[in-house]
Amino acid sequence: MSVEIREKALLALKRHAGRDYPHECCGFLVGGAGRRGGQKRIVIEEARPTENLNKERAQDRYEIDPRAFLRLQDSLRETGQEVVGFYHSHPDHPSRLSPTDLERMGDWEGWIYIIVGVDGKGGGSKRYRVSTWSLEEHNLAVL
Amino acid sequence: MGVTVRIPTPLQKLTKNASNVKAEGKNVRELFENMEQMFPGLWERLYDNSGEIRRFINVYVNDEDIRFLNGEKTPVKDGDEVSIIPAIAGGRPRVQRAP
Repeated sequence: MSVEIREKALLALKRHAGRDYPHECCGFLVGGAGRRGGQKRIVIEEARPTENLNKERAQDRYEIDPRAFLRLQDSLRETGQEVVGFYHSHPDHPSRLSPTDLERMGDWEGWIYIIVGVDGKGGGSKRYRVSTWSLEEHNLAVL
Repeated sequence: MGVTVRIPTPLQKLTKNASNVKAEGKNVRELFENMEQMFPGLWERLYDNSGEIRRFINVYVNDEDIRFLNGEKTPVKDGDEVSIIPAIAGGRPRVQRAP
């Protein structure tokens, strides 16, 4: 499977992660899935921020509002686009899947998860590391 | 006419890639029983071993979460739309607070 993302979408999700630091941010990845050369290809066109419902532990947890998911699905009808996955941030932590991420992903195969690790310690500008997962890690090509 | 059930992407391989399925039933449980007949294997993705809808699955009838209605006994009628939405959550390992 190949995963590609528009540069503006990548910038948008990094901006969101920086804005919500030191809390976790979350959002939807909107785009399309198809095939190229016999291989599944996912193109992420947009990152759509949404509210982190977990207010009590926002520094290390996120939860996406299912109603926001419903509303977005409705708005995408007839557009040819769909929710292809989700993103969230890990403030001051690497961008790999945590045990909690893995537990909650379960075996929901088919969606893409982008994690933005935000290093904001030490002052100065924040540093970002992005990684892309389904049940395994994927290279993320920027379009 | 039936009830339209919206299937999340990860379950669509069980529904022959359909994102919407028409099903019959008087309530949510009956709908899911009807869907299991059409798409074997779907039930065990929706229900846990104790026969409850899995904790990390949200079911909405139109715009209402069935947890705030009558659970799986929530009635449905022709033209209703039922959405199955996995709860999307997670997060980094716990932040240790200073004592």
